[in-house]
Amino acid sequence: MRNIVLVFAGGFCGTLARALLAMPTKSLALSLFPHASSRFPWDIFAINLSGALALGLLYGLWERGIPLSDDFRHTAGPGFLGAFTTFSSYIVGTDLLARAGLPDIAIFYAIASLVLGVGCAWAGYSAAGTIIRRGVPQPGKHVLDVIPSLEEEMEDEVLD
Amino acid sequence: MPLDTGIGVMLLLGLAGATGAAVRFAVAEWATKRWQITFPLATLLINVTGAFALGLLTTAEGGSGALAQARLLLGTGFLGGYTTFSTLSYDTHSLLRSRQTGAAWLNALGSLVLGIAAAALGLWCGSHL
Repeated sequence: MRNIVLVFAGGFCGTLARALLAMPTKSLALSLFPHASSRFPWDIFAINLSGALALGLLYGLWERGIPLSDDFRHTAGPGFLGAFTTFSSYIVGTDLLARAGLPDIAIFYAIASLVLGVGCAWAGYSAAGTIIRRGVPQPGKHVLDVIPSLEEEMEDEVLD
Repeated sequence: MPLDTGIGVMLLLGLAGATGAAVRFAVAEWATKRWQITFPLATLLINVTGAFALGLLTTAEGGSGALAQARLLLGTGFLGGYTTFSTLSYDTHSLLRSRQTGAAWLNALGSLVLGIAAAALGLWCGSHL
């Protein structure tokens, strides 16, 4: 029940962040990519890729022993990032592009989102390894100090 | 009740998305315990059903402010929070990383194909009902 409340709180913020970002980026994206079709959903595209990157980073840090609390992971992962990114808008957007007589853009949007989404999750997860190897935070000062409590937490969280 | 602008609608939008996220989390947790499988079937089913529902909602167009408001709260809010792209991407990456290549392709292409079909069905139903 506690986890559901945390996911609810994270989801509240994630939904609002998506809603607020999805409005101005339409005009911003068009100014950055003036030759792009105005119908290409750059906002959802960018939100989904950045969310996949962040989730990869979050879980990559946690799985490699950075002491992120159970509460933080639930709030940030399935809560904030789960609600920030959206599958329904992505897929319906693809269908609408095809229906608008832009099947090539629809196919590009569908495939590029998925391939780059997996790539971003991979990049985030790998970046976590790089961050830890470079010693941020200092292992002797932070990680090792909390390993006993971390191990206790992880025993409870193996199925997560 | 006028909801078309301001803090009130943002609050409701956030609450709708939070509810969607909580439902997704509860369903996924329940399914993980119940089914005992590594394949992220629950997320796939959540995303496909959400795509159908958003398709249905998208064609329910109308000039009236109340309907537009309902579409915003249910579509951008609830269904946006209920469905997720980050978990789909991360799970597919995890399957690839653990060399379950077939399962990774099944998850990615299954989500894409079933999602597009579900959204198309939703769009069709919305325009014919």
